[in-house]
Parts: sequence; structure tokens; C-alpha cells
Amino acid sequence: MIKFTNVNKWFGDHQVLKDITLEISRGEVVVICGPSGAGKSTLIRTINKLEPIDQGEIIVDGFNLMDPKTDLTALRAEIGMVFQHFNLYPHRTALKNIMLAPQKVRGLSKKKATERSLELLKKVGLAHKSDAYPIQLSGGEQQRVAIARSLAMEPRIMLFDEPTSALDPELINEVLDVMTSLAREGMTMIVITHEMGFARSVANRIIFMDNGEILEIGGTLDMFTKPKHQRTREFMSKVLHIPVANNNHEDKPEEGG
Amino acid sequence: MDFLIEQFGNWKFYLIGAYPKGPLGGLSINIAIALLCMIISFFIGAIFGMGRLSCRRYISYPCIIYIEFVRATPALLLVFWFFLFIPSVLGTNISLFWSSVIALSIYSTAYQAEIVRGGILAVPRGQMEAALSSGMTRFQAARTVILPQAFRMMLPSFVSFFISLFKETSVIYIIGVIDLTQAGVIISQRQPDRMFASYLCMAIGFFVVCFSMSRVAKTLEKKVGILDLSSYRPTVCRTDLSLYPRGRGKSAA
Amino acid sequence: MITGIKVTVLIAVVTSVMSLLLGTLIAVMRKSRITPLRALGGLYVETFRNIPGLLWLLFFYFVFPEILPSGLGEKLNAYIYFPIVASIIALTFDNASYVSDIIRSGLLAVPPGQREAAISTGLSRIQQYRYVLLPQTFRKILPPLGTRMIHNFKNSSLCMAITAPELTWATQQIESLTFRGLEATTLATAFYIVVSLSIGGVIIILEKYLKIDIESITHMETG
Ligand SMILES: Nc1ncnc2c1ncn2[C@@H]1O[C@H](COP(=O)(O)OP(=O)(O)O)[C@@H](O)[C@H]1O
Ligand SMILES: [Mg+2]
Repeated sequence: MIKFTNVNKWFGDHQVLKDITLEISRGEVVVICGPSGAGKSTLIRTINKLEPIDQGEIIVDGFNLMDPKTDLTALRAEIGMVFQHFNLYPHRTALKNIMLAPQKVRGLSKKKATERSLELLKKVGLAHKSDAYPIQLSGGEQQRVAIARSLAMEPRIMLFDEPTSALDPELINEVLDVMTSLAREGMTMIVITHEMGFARSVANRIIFMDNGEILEIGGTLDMFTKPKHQRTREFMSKVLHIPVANNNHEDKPEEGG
Repeated sequence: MDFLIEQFGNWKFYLIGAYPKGPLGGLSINIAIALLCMIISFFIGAIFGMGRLSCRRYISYPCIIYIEFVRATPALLLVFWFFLFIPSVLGTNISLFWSSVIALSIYSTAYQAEIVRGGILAVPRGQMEAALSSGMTRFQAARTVILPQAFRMMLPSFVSFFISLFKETSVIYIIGVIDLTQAGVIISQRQPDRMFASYLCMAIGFFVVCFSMSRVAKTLEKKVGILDLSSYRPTVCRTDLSLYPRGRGKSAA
Repeated sequence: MITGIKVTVLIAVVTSVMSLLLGTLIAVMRKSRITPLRALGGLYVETFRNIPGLLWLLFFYFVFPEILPSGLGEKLNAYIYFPIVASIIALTFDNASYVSDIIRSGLLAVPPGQREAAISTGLSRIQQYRYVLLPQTFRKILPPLGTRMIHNFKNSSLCMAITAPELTWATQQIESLTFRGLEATTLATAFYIVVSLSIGGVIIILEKYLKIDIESITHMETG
């Protein structure tokens, strides 16, 4: 479904993506983690071409991103994206935030769009907040509206860039719950997060990035219990708040804040 | 092209009018009036600007009324007032030049007052608190802590205001001062077939001054930031932290 | 006098609306990816901002008919409403340059995430501006925009220089015909002050009203 081949990208002299080769299949849930500045955001932003790349090839759902003839708008309509800071439109109510793209891009009638948006709001548990402006919503609610907004385009792929790291701890779960149910429905998802509890329960694979490179890719359990690289091990023990021993089975990790 | 070069032969008239044989004119009179007004209105404007910040209504209200009324009046009308009516009421004769200067000073005082007010408001409250708690008197605090910071922040606004005042000085053409506009119009009437060229010369004159000043303003803005009066919403007038000594100040909205 | 007020209001309203449209267009042009469009927008703003409005008035009234093909220019000069038309054109162009700068700074103040969110839901560039960026911008720039419109209204007085029969021109006409200029000028000044202050008032009310949906509610407790 998504295929990176030898992708390189620079910001000036600084190489932020180093020879990324990666394949993600339909229905897969992939969690990306790694220290800040590793290039995680840049990586997923290349998928809907919010960031262009300098070398290599990316093919997403049959669209070749390097081909200048590719219809980017059509591609982006297929890919939902959820941001760390929600980026809801402050001048529109929750409902109208969700309705905008279906109406304008898909050309749905107002009635149809309203119907679908209300349905999605119900799905994220916010049917009663449809007329609230973003500023009247808590962070968790805003993020759930943002997820509904992406879902309104019926995307085939959802990208999440640290969707919970701007939230107060007690609001994180309401967002993760929505994401979990989305994963259960079979959505292809790429999630940057350090919520390892979430990764454990829904991810098929975990990617560890550092310094623009994919250092390690592995099944969830493997990454928790027997990471190959020292860097991965260090990082895991930090986010899991417990030491991750070399090859020992540690079976009680819970996520920290 | 040659008709343009021919126009440049008149450069002296564009720049200084008939001077030294006649009165000073052309571009230099625009600059002179703008500068003079800037200086006069800086001091008066500072008084009105600080007055508007006063917690005492008998000080702040007159200042507000002056500032808002003048800002609501076209500069041209102010010029007419001082050109046509005030002299006849006072029974004196003021030269064109001075009536323009007075009218435009009145005009720019209102704007400068707002700049001064913005500058003072932009200094964080904590600065006054810190200065007072380090044992300074209010006057010392104002002079050594608040006003220097405020002035820095006002600088770019002063320069931008100078540009708009400079452009505004072109209205004195209407009462007959031989400024750059008038000079150009006189020349263009002398040679109607060269009209375009003489307008181009006027435009160049204004453009050069405004453009270079706007670069100055931009550089200053980068250095000290821009005042944003609209983001400031006073809630309670804190006499104890304002620039003025504690008095019978009432809290105003 | 009454005609003067009518003409002043006509000029002010028409130029305000047209300069708002033109200014928006220029502001968006200046953010375009296409370099010639950007350069053209920049050139426009620099040209009009650095030359006084009065000069543009004189230019459109005196010079413009001259540089047209001869027959057309004479027709324009004979057209009795030409002063008003020239005033409207000149003031629109002049004001639009300021308006576009205000809008541009407003656009720059919209967080980049808004744009990214709009892009990633598949909105086209025009849709991004129309539904996401510009509405937020206008709410932000209302105060400076209001000030600009007051300026534009006051600038309509300059049109007397090209004999557009607006309010200030009327007062001078009264002065020279009847010597009752003092009364007329007093009335005119009062009119300018009342209208300017009312525009200011309307802007403040409008701002409060629009803020309700976005900003002032920050203080409300939410659940
Ligand atoms: N627009 C940009 N211009 C220049 N450098 C950037 C830009 N965006 C990101 N970077 C740099 O690229 C690196 C990777 O950034 P990012 O992908 O945001 O990392 P992460 O999301 O893993 O924290 C960082 O070093 C960052 O400073
Ligand atoms: Mg990131």
C-alpha cells in the first residue's frame, strides 16, 4: 500500500531522511518511535507530500509521488492526517470543521455532509458537541474532532503525528480509544507515538528511528523484549520506564506519561 | 526617453522650487514640513499620549477626545481650517507655510500620541514592579526603565508615521503651497505635451523618500518588533503601577 | 452640501469595497508560488504605497486621458462624471495597496498547521484560501482594516483637487460663492468626525461579535 524506496531528504545541509526503504501493507498498523528530531514527522509528512523528497521513490496506493503528473489533491483526499496540535479551524464549529472537505472536495450535498459528519461525531463520542467551536472543547475533544474530520473523507490511510503528546495525561485515553477502534476496523494506520501501551495492543510493527535512519523494524513483542540495537534498548527503557534487558522476557511494561 | 531627460533639466525646481530667487519649494518643502511637524508633534503627542493613560478622567478624557476627533478629521480639512478661518478669527495673518505646519502638527500630534501610548503599554507591567521594588522612585523608574524601553519600541512606528505624514504633506498643494506636487503641476501646465514626464518626476521624488524610509522602518522593526495596540485590552486602571503617582485615581474601564 | 455628502459617501463606499477585493487578490498573489505573480504583487504595493494618493488622483484625472488614444481621452474629459470615476479608480488603487499589506500580515499570522490541515483533507489552493485561511485572517485584521477604511473615507476629501463634487469641494464652493464657508466647513468637519467615529464603533462591535466564536471563549470553563 505504501512503498518507500531509498528515500533521501535534506533540509539544507542537514540530512533528515537517510536511505529509507519501507513497505507497509493494507490494514497494517505501524507505530514509529524515536527521539525528537529523528525525522519521524518528516517521514510521515512525505506520504501525503506535505514535504517533498529529494531522492528515491514513494508509491502510495498506486500514486507515484515523484511523478509530477500525480493529482496531489486526489491523493491527499485518500490520506487522513491528524496533527499534534489538532489544527482545527477555529472559526468553524466542530460539525463545520468536519463538513468542509466532504462538501468542497467530494461535492457532497449539505444534507449528506451533515448526516455523515454527525455520524462521525457520534463515533468519536462527541455528538453533543457538534455546535461547539474548537476553543470550547478540551484538548482530547479537539483531537477527536480532528480525527473525525480526517475520517470524513473516507481515507484509506490515516497518519497520526504525535496525536496525544499535546494532551493532559487524563485526556490521552479518550483519543487512544478512538484510534484503537479505528485500527480494529482494519484501517491502515501510521502512528508516531510514545504511548507504548497503545503500540502493544494494536500495532503490528514498530519502527524505531534515530538521526534520519530507520534503525530497527520489528514485531511489537520483539521490539519490547529483545531489541537488537543498543540505542533502541535505551530508548525503550526510557519510554517504558523500566529497564529493557538484553534478551530477557519482560512482560509487564505499561506506558508512562 | 529624451522627453524624460529634458524633464530632469528642471530638477532644481522639483527639488527646491524657485529658491534662492523665490521661496523655498518643491520636494524640500515637503520634507521640511514633515520634519518640523514630526518634531513639534512628538513633544505635544507625548503629553497627550501619556495623558490618555492617566487614571484621572479629567486628564484622560480630554486627551481621548482630542486624539479621536483629530484622527477622525481629514488632514485637508484641518489645513483649510488653519488656512481660511483661524487667521480671520484671530485677526492675524499667517503665511501659507506656517498655517500648513500648524495644521499638520495638530494632525500628527494625535497619531504620535497613540504611538507613545502604544510604546508605554508595550512595556510589561513587571518592569515597573521590578523597578519600584528595587527602591526606585516612580519618576526614576519611568525615566530609567519604562521610557527608554518604550521609546525603543516606538521607533519603527515613528518612522512609518513619518512616511505617511510626508505623503500627507502633499495636501498643501491644494491651498497653493509650491511643494513637489505643485511644482510638478506648474511644469506640466507649461508643457502640456510633457505631462506624463513631469508626473513621473513627481512620483520619483515621493517614491525615493518613502521607499528609503520604509526600508529604515523595516530594519528597525526587525530589531525591536512592532507595536500592536489592538492586542492590548486594559481592564482595570492600576494607579499603583501606572506612570503617575498614586492619587485620587479612580479605576476606569 | 447634501450632494457633496452623497458623493463623498458614494466614493467612500465604492472604493472601500473595490479596494477590499483588489487588496485580497494582491495579497494572495504575493503568496503565490508563481514568481512573476509574486513580483507583480510586490511591485504594485511598492508603487502605490510610496506615492501619495493625491498624486494618483491628479494622475488619473489629468494624465490618463492624455496618454489614451486622442479621441478616447477627449470623450473622457467631456464626460461629466469623469472626476468621480477618476477619484474612485485612484482611491481604490491607493487603498488596495494598504489593504493588501494588512491582509498579507494577517495571512502570515495564521498558523501553518491550518494550511497543512486543509491540504491534507484535499482542499485545493483556492478552497484553502476561501474556507480556511481568509476567514481567519479577516477576523484577525478587523481593527487595522477598520482604521484603513476610516483613512480611505477621509481621503475622499482629496478628490476635491480634481473637482469631484464631494463634501470638501462643496464647502469650498460655498466659501467662494457665498462667503459662508465657515458654517459649511464646520458642518463638514462634524460630518467627517461623526462618520469616522461611527465606522470605528461599528468595527469594535463587529470585532466583539466575531470574537465570540473564536477567542473570548478561552476564558470559559470547558468540559
Ligand atoms: N522545515 C524545516 N526546515 C529545516 N529543518 C527542519 C524542518 N523541519 C524539520 N527540520 C529538521 O529535521 C529534523 C527532523 O525533524 P522532525 O521530522 O520534525 O523530527 P521528529 O518528528 O522525529 O521530532 C530535525 O532536526 C529538524 O530540526
Ligand atoms: Mg515530530
